Amino acid sequence: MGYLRHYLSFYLPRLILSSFLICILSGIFLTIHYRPFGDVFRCVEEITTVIPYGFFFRRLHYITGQLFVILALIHIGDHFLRRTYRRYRFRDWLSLIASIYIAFAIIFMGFVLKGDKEGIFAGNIMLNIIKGIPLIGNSISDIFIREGEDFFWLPFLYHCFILPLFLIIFTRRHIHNWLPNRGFFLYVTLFLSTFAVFFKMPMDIPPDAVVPTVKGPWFFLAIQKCLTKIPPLFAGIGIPISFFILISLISLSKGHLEWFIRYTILIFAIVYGIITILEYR
Amino acid sequence: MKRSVFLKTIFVLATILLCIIFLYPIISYLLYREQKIVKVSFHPNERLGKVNFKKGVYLIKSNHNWYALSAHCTHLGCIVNFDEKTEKFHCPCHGSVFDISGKRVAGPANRPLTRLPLRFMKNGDIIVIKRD
Ligand code: FES
Repeated sequence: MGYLRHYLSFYLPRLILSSFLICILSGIFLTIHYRPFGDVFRCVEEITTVIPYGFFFRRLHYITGQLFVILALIHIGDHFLRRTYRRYRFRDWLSLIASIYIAFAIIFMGFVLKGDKEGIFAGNIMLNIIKGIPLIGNSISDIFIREGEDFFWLPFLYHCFILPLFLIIFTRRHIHNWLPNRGFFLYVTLFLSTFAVFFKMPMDIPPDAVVPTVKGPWFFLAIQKCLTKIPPLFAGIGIPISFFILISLISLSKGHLEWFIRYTILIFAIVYGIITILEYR
Repeated sequence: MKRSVFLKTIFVLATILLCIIFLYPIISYLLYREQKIVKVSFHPNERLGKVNFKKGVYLIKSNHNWYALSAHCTHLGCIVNFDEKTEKFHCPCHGSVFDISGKRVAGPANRPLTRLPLRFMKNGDIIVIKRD
């Protein structure tokens, strides 16, 4: 157990940062050929099937992006169980929780940018959930995504520039101790690159294909399920925000309140995880 | 009122005013958007069936009349599929179902599919008008 804990605390943050760096690098390669206008699906398919080694950069980008958020979740879970949030100042804890939300937003926007049926539908769902916010929804949705020819433009800006910039700003103080050394980074890059060569990516669905069900990204599946039962404002905005508030408040709470918040978060996470697994199958 | 309190209040008010002055152009800039009207044209060859689909629009024939429905589900905007056997529209995202006239039959959507205006052209085309 002690060994595992040591392994988690030493290697995990370095692995997370290595994945993040490789993700950024592979993303830079992809942006050279990616165009967020016109027939985006065709452009993505061209990168994957026509442009030499395009498939490799796309897979590497996909794998490292997923690895980054999954490992970051394990990292947070580990610290949550060890109650290390008690050591953080509220402000610092808040920016770390905000960063994981930003990381998910980046992956979500990336999912939209695939330009296939799932991507377009995910974009539409996001747009309509935001539009459903009373009074301001219609206006603020325009800041994130717009219908028509510019559909992919704002997600592209958020995915490639705005959100990564915020992610770096929010985590800068947290990560500077954990930057991997060159040797470690090189080995991880080599390993993940080899893995990317053999990895099979989920299939893209052409925008005009008729399919009986369309699913969002894996971390959105539980919310997608809730959307079938409860109003979009609660499922799409209420749930993520309540979880954010709960997990942020835990660093301020003490005694019984801490115990209560802690178990609410745990139950919430377990239920969310189970729905996600059931929906993923 | 003490002088220092008075000055402080003036300072706070001035700061708020300044923020509004700066925020207003930023928000107006971010929220500007041109309303676009999109025309989807159906040539006679593109409407041979009873239910015809093009660019997010369903053009449907009932007796000798035509009507058009937006294919965007009124729940959260996914494009609905038409099932010829049951003559219903099914949404692949969260399972809403609409009948051929666009009326909601089941699922989380609570409005019917949106009816869109049509224009009949002299050359035989039917143009459906929708807003982006
Ligand atoms: S978008 Fe159609 S049921 Fe949700």
